[in-house]
Amino acid sequence: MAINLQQIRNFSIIAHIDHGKSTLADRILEATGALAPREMEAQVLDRMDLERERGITIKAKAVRLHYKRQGAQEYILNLIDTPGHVDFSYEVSRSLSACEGALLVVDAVQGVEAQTLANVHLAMEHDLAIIPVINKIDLPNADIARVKAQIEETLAIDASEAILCSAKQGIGTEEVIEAVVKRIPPPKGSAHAPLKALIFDSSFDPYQGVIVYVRLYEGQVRPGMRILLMGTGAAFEVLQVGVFVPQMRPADLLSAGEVGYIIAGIKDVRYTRVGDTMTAEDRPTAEPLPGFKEVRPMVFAGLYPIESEQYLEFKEALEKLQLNDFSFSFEPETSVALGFGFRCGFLGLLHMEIIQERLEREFDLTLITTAPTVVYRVVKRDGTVVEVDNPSDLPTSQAIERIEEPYIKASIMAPGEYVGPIFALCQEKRGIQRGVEYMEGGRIVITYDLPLNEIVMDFYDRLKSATRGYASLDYEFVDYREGHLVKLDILVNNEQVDALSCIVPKEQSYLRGRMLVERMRELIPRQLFEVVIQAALGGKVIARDSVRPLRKNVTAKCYGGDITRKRKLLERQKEGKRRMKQVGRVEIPQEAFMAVLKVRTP
Amino acid sequence: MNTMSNVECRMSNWNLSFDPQSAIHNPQSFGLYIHIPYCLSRCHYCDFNSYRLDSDQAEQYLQALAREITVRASSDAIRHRRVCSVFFGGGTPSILLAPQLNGVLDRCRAAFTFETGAEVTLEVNPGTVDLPKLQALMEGGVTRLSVGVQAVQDRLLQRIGRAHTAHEAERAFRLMREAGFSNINLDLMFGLPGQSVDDWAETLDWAIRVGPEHLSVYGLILEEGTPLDRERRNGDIGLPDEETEAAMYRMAKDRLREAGFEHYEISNFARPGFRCRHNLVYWQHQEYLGIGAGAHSFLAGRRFSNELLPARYVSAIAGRGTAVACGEELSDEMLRAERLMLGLRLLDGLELQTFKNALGVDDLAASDRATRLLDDGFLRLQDGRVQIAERGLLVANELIVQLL
Repeated sequence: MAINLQQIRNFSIIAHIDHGKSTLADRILEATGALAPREMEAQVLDRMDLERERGITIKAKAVRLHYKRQGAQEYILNLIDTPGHVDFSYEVSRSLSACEGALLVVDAVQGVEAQTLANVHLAMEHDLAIIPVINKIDLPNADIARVKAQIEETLAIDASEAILCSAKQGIGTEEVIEAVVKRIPPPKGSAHAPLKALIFDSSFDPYQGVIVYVRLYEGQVRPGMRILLMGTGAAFEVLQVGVFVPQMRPADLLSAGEVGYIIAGIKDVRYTRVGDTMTAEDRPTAEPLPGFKEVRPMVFAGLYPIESEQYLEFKEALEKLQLNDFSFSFEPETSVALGFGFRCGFLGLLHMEIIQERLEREFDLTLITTAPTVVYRVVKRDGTVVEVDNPSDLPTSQAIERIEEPYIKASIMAPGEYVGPIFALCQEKRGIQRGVEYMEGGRIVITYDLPLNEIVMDFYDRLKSATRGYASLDYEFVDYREGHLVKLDILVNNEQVDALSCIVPKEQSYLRGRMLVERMRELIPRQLFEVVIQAALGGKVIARDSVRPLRKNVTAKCYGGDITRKRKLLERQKEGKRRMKQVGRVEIPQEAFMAVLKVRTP
Repeated sequence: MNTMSNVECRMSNWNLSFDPQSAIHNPQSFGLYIHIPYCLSRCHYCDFNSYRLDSDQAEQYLQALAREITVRASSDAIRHRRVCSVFFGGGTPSILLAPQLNGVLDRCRAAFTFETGAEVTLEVNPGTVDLPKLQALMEGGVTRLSVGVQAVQDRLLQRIGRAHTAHEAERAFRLMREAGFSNINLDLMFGLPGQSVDDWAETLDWAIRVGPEHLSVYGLILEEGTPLDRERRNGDIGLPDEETEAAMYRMAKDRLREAGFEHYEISNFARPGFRCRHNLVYWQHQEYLGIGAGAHSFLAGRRFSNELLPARYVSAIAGRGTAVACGEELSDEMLRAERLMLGLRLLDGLELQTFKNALGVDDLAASDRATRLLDDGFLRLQDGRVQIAERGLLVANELIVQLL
């Protein structure tokens, strides 16, 4: 039996990172009895350990909550959690489109930030009802009036009815839930129309296959039905439907307006693309939902097992991980220096770090990651175009007509006093200014077109330090543009190490080469031999430095028979070598492969 | 005072007929280490288990030692086995009175069976002995003395917190000879704050001139938490740079060899027949029993150590007769690794087969690391033994870590 649509509310929580989204979600879960407080592990929605540790939500999740107003009818609230990081903005957009409204959480101290702005724009694009929630009002330096003014001026949202809360202290939770019921409209749509559902997430279960997270707009879905995924063209028979409470609970059917899951014996998440439309195979909907696009990895890096025997294990781990996260890609590649590994593509840097950590943690691998790079588009003299996601694959300069690199539009929000340093940084990073907006409270929004490669390098860290942490950043891909780029090679003891090559702007190449070599000298520990590090452009050495040989590493004492202590000392030294890759005779630590990211151009 | 640098060399003399193999094949014998955790003052580089002397507590401590000796001697792991070496380390064992030390030694003789000619070493601080005391120790059965000299420049001694002068060290040495000791070790240190190459040459020349049977030559290591280490963190304390330290080590090797000493262990030199028996127990992976606060033992594949604090040690012994505070069972793999780590410190090295076992290979060629280190001359094969070559001595840890 279908539920009365008037009783359903589908909503998300949007916020800048660390503004308290997950904590508020926990409070709402508690208050609606989805979990007894004693069952609560802080931030239930963030299931992966990694997410809890980093305080970010990586994958969207959905929970069905029951809320009974005093003496009134019961409501079903579907809370759809969204990732809070720019790497995952497409997932955010899909999650939002599954809702009718959103809670906009703003930190009472930090105020509106770049991601708040970006998320609000997304929510507005989807015509969501937006309820401002000012969180952390218990903090001594909370400035509610200022934040309200910001919300009104910057976001053009009426803040007079903003809800004041402290998710941490449990203040205002009831008011938040009431507002969801009162201010977010119920879903529309006919249960009798052909099935039309949005896939907004999926996960992989080794026993049941892919679990598809859906929002139904029209029609119904029940076990036994055959469904068609319109984007990928794949069809499956539904085995189970249900809702998250937050555990999975099977149901007889899901109907228009509802949010839940579908299990259909799907073996691979690549069929269930986020944003795709699900319909009935025998009675398809006339038109798919708008906005489906394939998410393409933006940042690439080589991942190599330190122990070459781990290659097969590594490959299996990548395959397993991809079952859960189709947004990253991998292809086998071979490096002269590092052996057999994979070139992996990620949505962004955070995504890359997360994948690497999950590989190491969940699969017990030790990996070397090369410096991340963007995808360059190389137009060759013969007219062909190749995409290069590994600097060492760059054709020789004689064969290259031009190189194009991806540009993004960056929106930087910061207090006005930092405008100078931000301009200087963007200038240094080859940015093209698009606009400066002055906002209430002396804040500014600066828009620049920047090469994505600069973001992949140290842009964000530099921005943070240039603004004492006050700036926030959001960006989106714009297009490919020609750049004056060259390949910088690194030689270690006269042998070129392919995994250390990088593509740099020509006018900065000498400086970068010099600084890179210097940085590598600091990062490569002293060894039994002298290690000579050189930077070269097209075979011509432009910088040289060396690591002096190790002169002395010997224990004098044997600590009165305390052999354990001596052994532990050596074990520690051994452990330090675990993260190093033997290249020729030289042991190169993981950090050195990332050195290119840490090079500062003055 | 006579704190520690020297502790590493708790050696007793195994003189005359040295055979590095015999001990390995003689599971009956074991080393006995006795810890005296007291000093007059603490040296600035010392991180050993040592405290200011408290006479009342020391009396209780000696009683606890006696009890532990008796209890241990009756244990299955020890019964029917022979002591090849006794080593009194510290702390500064020589700050106790001769009758006290002799009393502990007597208790050992009563409780354990000693090998014929077993050596008995006592660590000595130059400022803590006079002729009658030395004579009494000689009579009590101490056969070898190990003296912490470190340097012969008073400014350097003062700098590192040694409570004696160079003159006192030399005088103490003469008294030891006068008392009849014919097996004496001197501890020397290089890499001290403010020490020049000339200072070091002077120290070596002095040592050669006074003529001990054994010399332990240590590079200063700044252990975390020591006063000297804290000083260094706060600023430049004039430590010789690495190249200078390496040169000092080379100088010691050259001069001592020239003077007739055998360089038999990375940090140790001996006249023929005077290699340190006690340290060989450690390096050759033989078993030993530690008595006293914080003392370490290695018996039946297990390493364990006693309560560190003398007061806790005393009450543990009073309570249960033993005072083991922590221990670990060693897997075969760990044992093999240890054998490598310890054995390579001896310039004689390891038997090829033992070396291969430790690496887990049947053929040396199967170990890239070993092959490379041999090719590059950091290791060498000599008379069926794998040894650390000259150029590898100062980077021994690095070599061992690479091999492990």
